[in-house]
Formats: sequence, structure tokens, C-alpha cells
Amino acid sequence: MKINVQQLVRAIILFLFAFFIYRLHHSGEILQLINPKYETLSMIGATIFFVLSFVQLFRIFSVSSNHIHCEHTDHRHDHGDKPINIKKVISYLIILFPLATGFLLPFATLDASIAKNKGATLSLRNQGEREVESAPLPTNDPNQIDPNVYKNKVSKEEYEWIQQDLFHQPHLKMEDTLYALIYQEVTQNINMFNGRKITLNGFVYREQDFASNQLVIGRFLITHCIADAGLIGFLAEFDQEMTVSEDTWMEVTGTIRLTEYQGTSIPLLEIEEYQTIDQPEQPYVYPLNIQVLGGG
Amino acid sequence: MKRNLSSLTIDSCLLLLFAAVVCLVSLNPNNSVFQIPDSFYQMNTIFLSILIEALPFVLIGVLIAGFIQMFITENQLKRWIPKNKYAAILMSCVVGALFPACECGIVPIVRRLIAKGVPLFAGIGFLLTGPLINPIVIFSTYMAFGNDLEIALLRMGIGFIVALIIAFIISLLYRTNQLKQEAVHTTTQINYETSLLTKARKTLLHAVDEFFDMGKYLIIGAFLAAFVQVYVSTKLLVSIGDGPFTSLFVMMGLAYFLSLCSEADAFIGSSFSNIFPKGAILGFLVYGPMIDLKNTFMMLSVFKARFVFAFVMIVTVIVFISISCWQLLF
Repeated sequence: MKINVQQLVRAIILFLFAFFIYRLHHSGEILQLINPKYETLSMIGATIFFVLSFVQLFRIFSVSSNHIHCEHTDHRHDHGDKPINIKKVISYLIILFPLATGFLLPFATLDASIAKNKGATLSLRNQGEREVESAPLPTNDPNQIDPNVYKNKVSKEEYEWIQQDLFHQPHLKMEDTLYALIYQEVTQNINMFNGRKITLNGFVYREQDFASNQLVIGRFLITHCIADAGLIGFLAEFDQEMTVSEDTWMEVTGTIRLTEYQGTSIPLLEIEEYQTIDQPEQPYVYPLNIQVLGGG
Repeated sequence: MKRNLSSLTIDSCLLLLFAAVVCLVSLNPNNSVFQIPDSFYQMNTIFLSILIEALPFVLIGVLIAGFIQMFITENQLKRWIPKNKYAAILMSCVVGALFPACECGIVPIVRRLIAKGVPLFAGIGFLLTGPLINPIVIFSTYMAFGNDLEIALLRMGIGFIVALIIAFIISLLYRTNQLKQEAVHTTTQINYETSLLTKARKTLLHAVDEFFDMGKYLIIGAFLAAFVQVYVSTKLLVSIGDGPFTSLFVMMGLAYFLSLCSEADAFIGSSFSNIFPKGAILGFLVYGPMIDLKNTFMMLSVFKARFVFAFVMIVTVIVFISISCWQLLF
């Protein structure tokens, strides 16, 4: 009986992946990477890694390097018991690379430079009205929004109710959970929200062609993981020159007005009150998760 | 030296990877080796986020692949697949459409199916429709386009037809299975009478091997996709033009390099809908789930490099032509 080094390395790598994902969950850093909706799935992933590393343990003490565990004659893949060569070392190094950067380097929060790269102006231009929806039906439900919303999970009826309710609120408050919904509704029905008061927070983002009193206040919307982040936010106009640097977090209150930007009409906020704030613990926002057939 | 082409690709990518790191470290103005620029942290975070997001799907994929290896015989598969080529293509695309997979998880499954004797074209049909057509994708597309079902339906419809055409072309061009290792799978002598426990253990061990085969490709793909996101400006792509054909080309390029999950790309796609015509948006939505940068690397772990490049070309050309036809007709 001898110890098979390669199988040991494989078991350790699998265990490290399980440990790495578990640690992300434990420290809460996982929220820097993915939409919390996928937390359970990622824990399942960590569990599978752990089970695999456990099963792999039994391979370490192979009697000989023969494939006693596998009866089929031809091998389409490597079982990890052929001699180590430079190519294999490179393979293992590649697999270790994310573990190394993951354990050693701190996570960054996406900032204005990423927004610039992703073409945030494009999404600004995109705020142009798409369709004019018919006037919403008045609902006289004065109740507060269902607390379920704060779990970011609502039923189809609740979603429609919240959506309708927005049209009747004199002062829109873009809370974390409703951020994406309000953004979507306002950009799609600018005329209907023209003149409405709105309060939101977000980080400062600038484009070269902005006037000195103009900024974008916005946040990143994460659908899956931060690779699919998109900046959502509004063009804001202040009554004085603004010198705050990009990536500063602000809370602003203002009135929605229609304006032209690069040939498209988009909403513009006339800012009445503003203050700089600390970056929230959770800088990203997520789309409301509507339950269809109990899942999704 | 055919087999060296893909290993050459890996090695050169690794070199690129190190070159990128060295370049970034040395480029920063303070010239201190230990000061890494912010953008590198951002890239690393995006890289890890793609990986963390993809890993559960890949693991489920390799488990299913291990299960197929241990529990399903070649004969069973042969009985299930129609003898008629056209029927087999249609069936593979329909099965893919019903199977809720994502593009990372489906690669190991397809590899195992083809190794078990499923014809290449049927495997490809399954590979193309699996991530593109499923309830979650339809729903997220519906949501992203302002609760408008039109784009979601067009995405599924055009995607399905494109997948049929590609599977058919593959069936004309390739007779062999195009898998990487040449070893001909003569007779698998798995003893189907072995106990369930042994089989389960072997399923897991197969999954381990499969993970190590595929893991490095996934990692390289995720790294390159993160690199593109941080260092290549979207504006650069968009500035190429916004005519009906150039914009389609631009959006397909974007879909390829961003390597987004099919369940999450609709929002990004919709953010271009006021700048580009509908055809270009559809190109983005149909092409992305079929092939992208990350996926190309994962396919390199399964198929011969030559086949992968040909496949990418075929998919690109067919999606481009199909969407252009649609644009001209409607």
C-alpha cells in the first residue's frame, strides 16, 4: 500500500473548493459575487464538492496504479494515475489559480470604471420611452406594501399590485428591493411620472459630455452574478456645479422631468436635496423575484 | 500532431494569463511590484463570480454524466434514438428544449452521451437547444423586455430552427464522433449486476475525473470573459456601426465575449434595444446561449480543436444568415 500523490492532490483541491465556497457563505462575501437567490444552489455545489473529496479520499491508498476501480477497457479520460508530466502540472496550476486569488486577494466592489466600460451611456439613452401604456386602474388599497417584498420574492398578483401602486404614490422611494422595478416603470412611462418626486441613493457616475452640474446616480443591478451587472440610474441635475468624485455614494431627492439626451427623451431628476452617504453594506440591487409555479 | 493543437491552445492561454498579470503589475505608475491596480481586483472579482455561479451547474452536469456512464447502456441509448437521421435531429432538439440545462452544465453530459454512441449531430442538437429553450430563460426574457412576450417567443422560435439547421449541417459534414481521445470505445465491460452502492461510488469517481478534465477549461474561459469585461470597452464594439447587418454582427460579438448565462443575458440584451434594431437584439439572445468564449473552452475539453473551430464558424454563420433573413422578411 502506497500513497498516490496525484489522487491526494485531487482530494485536497476538491476539499479546498468546498471550503472556499463555504467560507464565502460564512463571511457573507458571497453577496459580493452572486444574487442571493442563488445562495442555496451554491451551497449545494459546495456540498457536492465535499462529497466528491470524501469519495476521492479512498483512491489515495491504491494498492497499485492499476485501474482496479474501473472495469471498462478504454479510457477516454484521465483517472489521475498516469505519471505526472509538465502538462499535468500546468493543469493543476490552472485549477489552483482561482483558489489562490480567491483566498489571497480581497474582493472589489464594481465601480464607475466598470460602468464606463459597459457603456452606461447606452443604457441612459435606452431610457427613452418604449411604449405608452394605458392609464392604470386606480386601486384604493391604502395598505403598506407586503412585507414579503423584502425577501425579494413576490407572487404574480403582489407584483402587479405593487406595479399599479407606484402610479399613485406622490413620492417614490427607491428602496433596495423596489429599485429595479421603479427604475423600469419610470423609464418606460416617463410621461406618467413627469413631475413626480423621487428619492434614491446610488453612486456617482459621469460622462464626458455632461454639464458640470449633471451626474448619474445609480446602482448595479445583478441578475445572476456580477458579470451580468448593469448600471441602472437616473441623470441628475443640481442647481450648482458638482465637484464630488465618481464612486461617491449619495442620497438625493428630486423631481422627475423629461429631457433630451443624445437624441432620445429620458427622465432627468431636478435635485432638491442631497447628501453624501457611506456605501451601503449591500451595494448591488436585484430584480424582484416573481414566483411562477412555485419557483423561478 | 493533431492532439497537440488543443494543448497548445491551453499552454498559450496560460502564457497569456501570466503575461496579463505581469503586464498589469508592471504597468502601474508606482512601479512597485506589490501594488496591484484596482482594475485587477475588479477583474479577479468578476472572474470568481462567474466561476462560483457556474460551478454548481458544472457539478450537477458532471454528476449526470457520471450517472449516464454507470447506469445507462449503449443499447438502451440506441433503442431510444430514432434510426432515421432527420427524426433523430428533431428529437435531440426537442429533448434539449425540454431539458432545463445551462450552457456550462450541458457540456459534460453531451460528451458522455456521444462517448456512449449517440451520433454527433444528435448530441449537438441537444447541446444547442438545452440552454436556449427552457422555462427560466423564457420567463427572464419576458421580464427583461418590459413584459413583452414577442421577443421571448421569437428567441425560442428562431433558436429552435437555427439549432435544427446546424445539427443537420453537422450530420452532413461529420461521420465520426469528433471526440478528443482517439481511443475507440469498443465494448464497455461494465458489469451491470454490481451493487447499487458500488455503482453510486463509481458514478461519483467518474464525476471527479470529469471535473478535473473540464475544470481548467472552465477556469480559462471564465478568466478571459472577466478580462474582456474589465479591459475591453463595449463602446468600442458599438462604435463599429448600427446598420441592420453591422449591428447584428456587433451584438453577436458582444454575446460571444461577455459569456453570460442564458438565464441572465436578457437584461443586458434589453439595455441595447433602443440603440439597435430588433434583429440585432435577437442575434444577441440566440447566439449567446449556443456558443460563447467560456463555452468554446469547455468544448475544447471534449472535442477536437479543429471541430470546435468549425462548429463556432458554422453556428456564427447560420445564426447570422437566419436572423438576416428574418430581418429582410419582416
